[in-house]
Amino acid sequence: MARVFLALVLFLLPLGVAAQGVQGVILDDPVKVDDFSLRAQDGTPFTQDGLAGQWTLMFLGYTHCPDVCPFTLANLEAVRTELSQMMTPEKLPEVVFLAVDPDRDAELLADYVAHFGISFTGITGERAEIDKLVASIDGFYRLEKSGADDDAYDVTHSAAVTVINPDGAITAKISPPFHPVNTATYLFRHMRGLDVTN
Amino acid sequence: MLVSNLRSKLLAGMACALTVTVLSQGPALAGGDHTHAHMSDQKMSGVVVSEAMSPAAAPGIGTMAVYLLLENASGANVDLVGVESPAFAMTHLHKTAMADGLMTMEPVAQLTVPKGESVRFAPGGLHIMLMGAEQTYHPGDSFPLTLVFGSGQAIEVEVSVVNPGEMPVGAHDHSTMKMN
Repeated sequence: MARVFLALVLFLLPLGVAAQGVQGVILDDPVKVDDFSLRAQDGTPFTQDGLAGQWTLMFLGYTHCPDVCPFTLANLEAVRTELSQMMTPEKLPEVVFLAVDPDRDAELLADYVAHFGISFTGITGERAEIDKLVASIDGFYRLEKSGADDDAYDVTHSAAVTVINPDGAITAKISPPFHPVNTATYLFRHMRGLDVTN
Repeated sequence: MLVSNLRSKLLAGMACALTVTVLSQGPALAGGDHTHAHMSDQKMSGVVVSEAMSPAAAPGIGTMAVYLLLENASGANVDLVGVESPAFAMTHLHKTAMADGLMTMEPVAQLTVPKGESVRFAPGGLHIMLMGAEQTYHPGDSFPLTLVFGSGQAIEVEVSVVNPGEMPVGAHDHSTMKMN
């Protein structure tokens, strides 16, 4: 009997681990992203309307981020690759990188986002417009400048990825680590309106 | 409502993050008068550094991070007190800390690896931050990095530059290392 129980535990264990691999919070009701006016990496305007029509994974960061931003963006590309096994390309979520350090980010943004994912969109712009969007996704950032001439500063920022539905409304937030397979499974179920165990 | 709950967590995180900025941002290695023997075989009396890798940075970005495995098979605790690389203007021993949903970076002045234990530097946790790259590094390239220990000894390793997608998923702080 004990052996049967052990076998059962060993069988169920990997399932449990997989389900717990993603830390996500799903909102009871989607919250519409407020109006904002920024620019994409190619200079074209990017507003709340750019979020309509497809799912979006939005991540807030800065181009000089050494550790977390590159790792997260690389993982989000891996998540898209995993998802591409489960859905048609046009239904894949878009990855939008909100660059909150425009003084250093603006001129590097096009190369930066393409480095991680050829389909990625990078957006930045005026501080006030960045702050509108940051507030709207309930994010946070702070430039850790020691003085006006400090050009090697860090930026403290939210770690979560915001999940936005094709109506431009926030439906969930997921937290690192963004294990590609687990995150893809989580998002696949979430985007299809299925229960997500976590 | 969920959002307001998130916000209160963020405020708590802000208070936490503020304490980090007070810490010294100076080079991890204090003083420039140190002398140490550079070892070419990556070993220092049982201390082994392996799997040293750094994801290639995007064009124009001179900031990179190095991840590695530091094993202490020697008979005594070792203290990592500094990192150096001629390929970068600045090198820092860093730890990314996540508190209440916020990512902050904390300088680590000294990392003690107890005898018989190992420490993995991984994304989202301990890393060696490099700023001001002397050149652009592509996947397949490498650059030298020296780890300096409290004993005055040092280990020089060659860091492999990898594609950002090649980094293993990880970054859980489950070692018994002590930092101060």
